[in-house]
Amino acid sequence: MRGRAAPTELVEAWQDRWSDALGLWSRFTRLRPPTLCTTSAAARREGLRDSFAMIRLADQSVVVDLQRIVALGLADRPLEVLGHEIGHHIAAPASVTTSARVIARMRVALPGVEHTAPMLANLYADLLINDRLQRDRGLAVHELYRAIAAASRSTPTPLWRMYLRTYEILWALQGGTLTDAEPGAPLASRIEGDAQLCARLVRSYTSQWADGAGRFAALCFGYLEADGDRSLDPAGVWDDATTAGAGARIPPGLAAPDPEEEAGAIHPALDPALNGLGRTTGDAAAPADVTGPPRVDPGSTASAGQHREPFEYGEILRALGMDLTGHEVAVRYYRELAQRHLVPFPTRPDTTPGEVLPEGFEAWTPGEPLADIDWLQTVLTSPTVIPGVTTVQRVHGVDDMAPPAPVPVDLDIYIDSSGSMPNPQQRLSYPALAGTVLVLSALRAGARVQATLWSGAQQFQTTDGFTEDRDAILRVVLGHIGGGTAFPLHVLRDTYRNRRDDDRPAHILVVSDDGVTTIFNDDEEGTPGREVQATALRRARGGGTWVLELFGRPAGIDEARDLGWTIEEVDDLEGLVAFARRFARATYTGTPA
Amino acid sequence: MSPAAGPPVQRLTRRLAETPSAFLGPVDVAAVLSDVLADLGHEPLSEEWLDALTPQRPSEAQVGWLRTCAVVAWLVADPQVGTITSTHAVLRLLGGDLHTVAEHVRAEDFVGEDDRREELARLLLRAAGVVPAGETEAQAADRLATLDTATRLRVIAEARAAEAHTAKVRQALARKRAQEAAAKATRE
Repeated sequence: MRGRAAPTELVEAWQDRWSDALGLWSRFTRLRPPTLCTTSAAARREGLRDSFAMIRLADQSVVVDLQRIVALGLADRPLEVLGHEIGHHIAAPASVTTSARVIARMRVALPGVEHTAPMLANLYADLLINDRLQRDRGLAVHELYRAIAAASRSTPTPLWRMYLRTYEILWALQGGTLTDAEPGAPLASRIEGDAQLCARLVRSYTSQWADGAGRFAALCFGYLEADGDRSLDPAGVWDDATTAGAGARIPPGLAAPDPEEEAGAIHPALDPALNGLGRTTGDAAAPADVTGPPRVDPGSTASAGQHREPFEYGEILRALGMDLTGHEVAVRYYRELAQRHLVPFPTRPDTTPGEVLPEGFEAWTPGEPLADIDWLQTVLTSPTVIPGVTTVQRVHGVDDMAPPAPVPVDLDIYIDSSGSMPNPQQRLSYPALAGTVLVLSALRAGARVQATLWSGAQQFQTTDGFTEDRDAILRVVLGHIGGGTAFPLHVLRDTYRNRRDDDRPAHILVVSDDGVTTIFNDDEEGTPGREVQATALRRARGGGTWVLELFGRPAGIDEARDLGWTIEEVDDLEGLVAFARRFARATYTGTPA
Repeated sequence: MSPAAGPPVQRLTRRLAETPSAFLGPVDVAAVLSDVLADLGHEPLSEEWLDALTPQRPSEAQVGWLRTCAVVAWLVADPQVGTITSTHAVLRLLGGDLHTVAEHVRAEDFVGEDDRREELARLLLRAAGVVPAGETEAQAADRLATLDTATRLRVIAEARAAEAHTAKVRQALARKRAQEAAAKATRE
C-alpha cells in the first residue's frame, strides 16, 4: 500500500493501549510488545501481507500495519485490534499443536477444498475470540467489520453473509447491521439457518473450540464447494493467523489421526445438540440417509487405520505455514511413528574387559558427539579447523583388570527401494518405518549405523560409512529410488574389505523381497557374490539377517542360510515393524518381543 | 403510535433463570396463575380458562404446554413484570405463541437455555404490547424473529435439506480423493 506513513503519535497511542489489551485476557500474559509498522512495506517485511494485523505463534509476537489501519478507518480501535490478536495467542488457536489439530479435523470435512482449512480455522477462531471480546469485555468488535465493509468495495459472498449474520445473532444486532440485508428483508433461509446453527456452535464449543472445528468446516463446505475460494474473506483483510505456525517446531502427535476427525465432520444441522431438534417432532421429514459424517469406504487407502499418510501429514504441516521439504516431513513422520516401537538396542559383553585408558588419537567425523573432539590435539594438528579432516578424538584402550563393559553392535542396513516398494514420502512405507525403528534404537544405544538404499545397478544411496548422524541416516532410509533390482554388492564388499578385528561388531541387515537373490551375482570386479557375502559376514562378526516379504520361493535362500544369514520371512510389509522389535530383543539379548 | 417501553429483557431472563424447581414439577397451574393474577390485582381467570388449565386427561402436548404456563406464572409474579401485563395479555401469550413454542421446547429449556429464556421474555413483552427498554420496535421485532422457535426450526430444516445434497457431494469427493491417492501410490 502506498501513501503516507502512519504518524508517530498513532504508534505511541497504540503502544499505550498494549497493557490494556493484554488485560482483556490476563494481566499475567507474557507477550512481547507489538511490532507497530508505520508503513505497509515495513509490515510486509515482518511477514504481514493479507491483513492489517497478525500473530506469530513461533516468537509470540503481534505485528500491526498502522498505515492500513488508518486506511480502513480503524485508528481509534486499538483495543479491538490488539485484543483480537492477543486472543489468537491466549484462546484460539493458542498453540501450533491446537492449530494443527483444528486444521486436521477441518480437512476431513472439506474433500476437494482442503486448502481452505487454514483460512476457515482462522475465521472459526475469530468467532470465538470476537464473541468473548464483544460479550464479556464489552468491546465494539462489530465496528471493525462495519468499518472494513465500508472501506471495501467487494461484494459479500453467501458464505461471508452467513458468517456476518452469525455475529449479528451472537451479539443481538439488528439484521443488516453487518450483512448487506435490507431492513425487514431477511437473508435466504439457508443462510439464516446456517447462521443460527453457527451461533449455537460457537456458544456450545466455547470452552472446547477445537472439538467444533469439523462441524464448522462441514457448515462452510457447501458454500466453498459452490463458490470456491472467493467465498472466503472477500475484503481480503482477515487473514491474520493462517501462517501463525511459520518457523515453529513441528507439533507432535499428528502422524496418527485423532478419533474426533471423522466423528466431528458433521454438519451442525445433523447434530441434535446444535439443531434443537433432538427432542422435537420437527425432524420427521428430514432425509434418513444423512445422519452423520461422510462414511469412509473400508477399502479406501486414505486415512484408514491408525495413521495418516505422509503426504497428508505434510499438507497439514504446510497448512500451518511451515516451509518444509518432503524429506523433512518424512523424517518427522517416521520418527513419530517409530517412537512406540523403539526398544533399547541390544548390547553384548565386550570380549576385552578392562579399565579405559587413553591410547592415542583418531579422526573425528561429523555426526559423532562434539564433546569427543580433542581440541588441543586438533589445533596442534592444524590451526585451521576443518570438521572431519583436521578434527581428532582420543582413542582409549582397556585395562584387563576392569569388569566387562557392554558394547553396542553397529548396524549395517540395506533397504530395497526398487519399483515394487512404496515411496515413503507419499505413502506409509513399512520397510522405511522398520528401518527407522532399527536406526533410532541403534543410535539410542550408542551404536553407529551405515544405511544403504538400493534399487537397480548403480542406483543406490548410502551414508558412506558408519555414522551417528541421525539426519544423514534417515535421509537415506527415507529416500526413494523406484528403479530395477540389483543388490549393491560393491558397498557390502568395500564396507568389510578393510574392517579390522578390533572394530566394533556389526550386524548386516537386508530388507527386501524376492529381488534379494541378486546378491549372488558377481560384483563389477568379477568376484562372486557368495564370496563377498562370506567375507562380509566373517569380518562383521555380528551376524546377518535377511528380512523378506517373499512372493515365491526364489533360488538362493538355502544357500544364504549355509553362508550364515538368518532368514526372516514376513507375511506382509506391516510384519516388518514387528520384526524390527523381535530383531533387537530376541536375536541379541534373548529377550522375547 | 409506537408501543411503550417495558423493562429490559435482562430483567425477565434473570427472573426465568431463577425459576424455583417447584414450578417445573407437577403443579396446579390454574390455581397458581389465579393467585399470581390476584396478587397483581388483575382480572381473575374465566371459567373457560380454568377448565383449559385443568384438563382431566391431558395429552403429552398439553402437559408440555401446562408446564410452560407454570413458568410464565413465575415470570409474571415479578412485580416489575406484572405491572406491565394484564390478564388479557398473559392469556394472549398462553393461548397463542406459547402453544406453538411449547410443542418444540421443554419447559426446562425456558429456564436453562439463554436463547429460550430470551425468546419467552420477548414473547411476553410483545403480548403485553411493550418493547424492551433501550430498543426500538424494529429492533425488538428483529431480535424476536431471530429467536423465534418456529422460524428457527423452519430455517434449520431448510439448512438440513440443503445439507442432504451437500453430504452426497462431500462423500463423492472423499471417495474420488481416496481413489486418486491410491492410484498415485500404485503409479509410484
